[in-house]
Amino acid sequence: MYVIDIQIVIDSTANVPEEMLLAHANLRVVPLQIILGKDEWNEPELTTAELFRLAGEKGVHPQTSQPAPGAFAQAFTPATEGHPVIMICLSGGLSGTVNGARAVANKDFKGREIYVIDSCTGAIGALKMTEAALAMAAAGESACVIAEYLQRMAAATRTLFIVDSLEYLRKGGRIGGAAALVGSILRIKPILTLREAKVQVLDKVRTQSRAISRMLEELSKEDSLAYIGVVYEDEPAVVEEMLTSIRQRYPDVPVSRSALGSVLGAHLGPGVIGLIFQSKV
Amino acid sequence: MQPRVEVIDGKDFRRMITGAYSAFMRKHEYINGLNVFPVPDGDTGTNMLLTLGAVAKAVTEAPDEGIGSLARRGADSAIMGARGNSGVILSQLLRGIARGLSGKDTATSAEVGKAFQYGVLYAYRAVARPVEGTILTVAKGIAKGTYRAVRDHATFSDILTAAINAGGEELRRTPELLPALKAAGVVDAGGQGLIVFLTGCLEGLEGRFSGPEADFGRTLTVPGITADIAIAHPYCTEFIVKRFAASLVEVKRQLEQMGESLVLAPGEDILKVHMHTAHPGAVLESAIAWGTLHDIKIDNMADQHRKTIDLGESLSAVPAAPQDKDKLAIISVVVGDGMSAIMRQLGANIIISGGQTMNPPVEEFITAVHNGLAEQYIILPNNKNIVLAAVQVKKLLGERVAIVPTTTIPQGFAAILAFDPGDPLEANIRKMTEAQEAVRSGSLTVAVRDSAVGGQTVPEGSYIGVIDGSVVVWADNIASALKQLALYLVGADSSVVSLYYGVELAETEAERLAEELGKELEGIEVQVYFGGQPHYQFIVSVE
Repeated sequence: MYVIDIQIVIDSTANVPEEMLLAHANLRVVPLQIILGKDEWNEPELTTAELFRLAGEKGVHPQTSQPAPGAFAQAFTPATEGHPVIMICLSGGLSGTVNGARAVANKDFKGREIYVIDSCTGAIGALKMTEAALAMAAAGESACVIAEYLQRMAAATRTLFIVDSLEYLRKGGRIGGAAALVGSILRIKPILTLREAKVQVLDKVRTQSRAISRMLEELSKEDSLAYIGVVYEDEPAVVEEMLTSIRQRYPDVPVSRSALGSVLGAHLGPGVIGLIFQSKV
Repeated sequence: MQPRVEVIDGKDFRRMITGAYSAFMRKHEYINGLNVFPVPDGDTGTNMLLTLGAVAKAVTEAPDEGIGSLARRGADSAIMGARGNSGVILSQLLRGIARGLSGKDTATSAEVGKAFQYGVLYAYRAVARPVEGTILTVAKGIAKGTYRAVRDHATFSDILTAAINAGGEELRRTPELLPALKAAGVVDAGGQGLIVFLTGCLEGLEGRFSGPEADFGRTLTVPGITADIAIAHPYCTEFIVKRFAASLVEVKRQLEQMGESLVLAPGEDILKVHMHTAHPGAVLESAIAWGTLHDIKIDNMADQHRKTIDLGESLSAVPAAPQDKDKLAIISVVVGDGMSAIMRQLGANIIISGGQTMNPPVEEFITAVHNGLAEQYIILPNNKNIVLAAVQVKKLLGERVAIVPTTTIPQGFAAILAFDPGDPLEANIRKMTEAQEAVRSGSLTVAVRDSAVGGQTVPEGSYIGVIDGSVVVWADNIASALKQLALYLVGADSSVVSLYYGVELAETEAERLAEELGKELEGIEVQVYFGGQPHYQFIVSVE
């Protein structure tokens, strides 16, 4: 086995599985932090269910923090030894991670080969980009080619989600006051999307089942799908039903389900059902 | 012996309008009662009374003497003061009369007769779907009677009498032409209104006033806008320029750049100016050059509005309307505190209070638009009785106004949910119209009279479920009527039933009924909200 030159860095919100980390020596995870009052955790140390339980007990609203500059610096160190680094970050619409990473790369690693990519998505979307990056690196592609490909993946990815309440997004300043208000009456489920580095309201419908149908309607507008991912926090029965219907309709597309990480949980709140998919690039 | 009136002048016209107004003072409750329907409906008589009140006030106070210009003023104020569909029809009647008398100082009886024929023609053109047995039939009868009398060179009193007789004959036939009228044992309310109008004109012309004196009190209330809205041109500025010595065209050009709602009333060497502006000082400064300034009056319209505002505490979180002009704003007509609060939270910029039995005047919409909140406005009438008034507003204001013809409040909710302020007007109208069409809704009320539905008698006091103006279900208890109505509305793809309970129902009672209904509807979510509407225990919508 030869050592792969290119280093792939991913933030913790992609929920990289343990096996994947063990299998790739050139893959590294930079954790974001969860803050509850005076307590602080690295994201992987706290499950989403734990987070909501503790937040409820303490009566505090959870906050998150992007990785410290030092954590980025550590992850980028191989660049000083001539190894190109590609960092894949959670959507700039939800987190400052991508900006933090760029700041460190530009300031402390001037002239080094570091590519900071805004995934424009998160969770399974970022994970799929990581898989692609690892495979291309193993196949001997150059970092520049990989980075360009990842950017095209990001542009071809759509991220839709619904939440129980827009309270978390509003408190986190990730959605405007007017939109948050709409989500609080008539049990309206706004269908949210990540677009132009912002959380935007795609449509507003009433009830969860209609919201899911509306998300699946968006899915059906894509011609050639590379993958479909369902991300969730709680609501296992609803998610199972949704997966069954997707698998029936798209027997040839890889479909995955994954639980929401605690940072995204803190951003979006309980009851998230997300649909992330990418058209082939 | 009746006075013979061969030449009709402005004074006669004034008397006719005042006579018509006092006739409606006496008859409006009777006309309100000509309701084919066992539910409280748009009050035809009240709407005509209030509309005519605006006309009578304008005609009485106008300085003009010529019959043509008085008729014009009367028609203009009717168009602005029109309430409800019947008010709009009446305003068209007056428009027709004004057209027939245009430019005349006095008129012969034949000319006035022809003008009234025009009026009747305009009136039934305003009816969206001409159906025999309605105002249309009566109008045709009147036209025939008038035509014969004019041809025979009768006096105007005789022409009016002939019109009333011929119209009255047709009015009595309306129950034969329209089964709904026959079943309810009434004649057509709009047609009756037309006869009352003509009878009042005749009484006024002949100086035979009876009943209460004309009292404009009911019509003098300033239409209030029940919304805290940002006003781009807050100062209502009025003044008179005496020894006016400037070009009117030039004055108009200058003032138009300084505000809006500009009205210039020129007289001999005198000009009255009314406008809304953000800079009253600058307006007055310019005006000094045109003559001497008198009766200067500057009001901050925000003060007027604040007085009429009564927003619930729940609305305090609503962000203030933006100071800059938006591209698009929504004007929504709503009745009920709860319904208004929901509509506002869904993003309605301006709420006009009104509904089935309280139809807001056209002027209220115009005032709302003139506040300059946005470049263009979308009106959600949310009631069939208000659609025609909205169409009238569109006719008056043209491109600035568009209508999504919602006929129920739940349709209004669906429409506003589809609204995206970032999209152009056309795209919004298309999406909003589509969205409101997908909502099925009905309402639950108590029958105010016995009625016949599908060959069966529905006794007064029954709970009735109404969809699109028809009674579809009824029962002697509210739970059963609610269940039947909901079952009538739900389809295979329905997933949520929303109940908006009215002011007559207690919250606990509403919730109990909702819970009971939930047990009956498997797989469908039942949600209950406070609507606060009068008359209707529940407004029900299914999506």
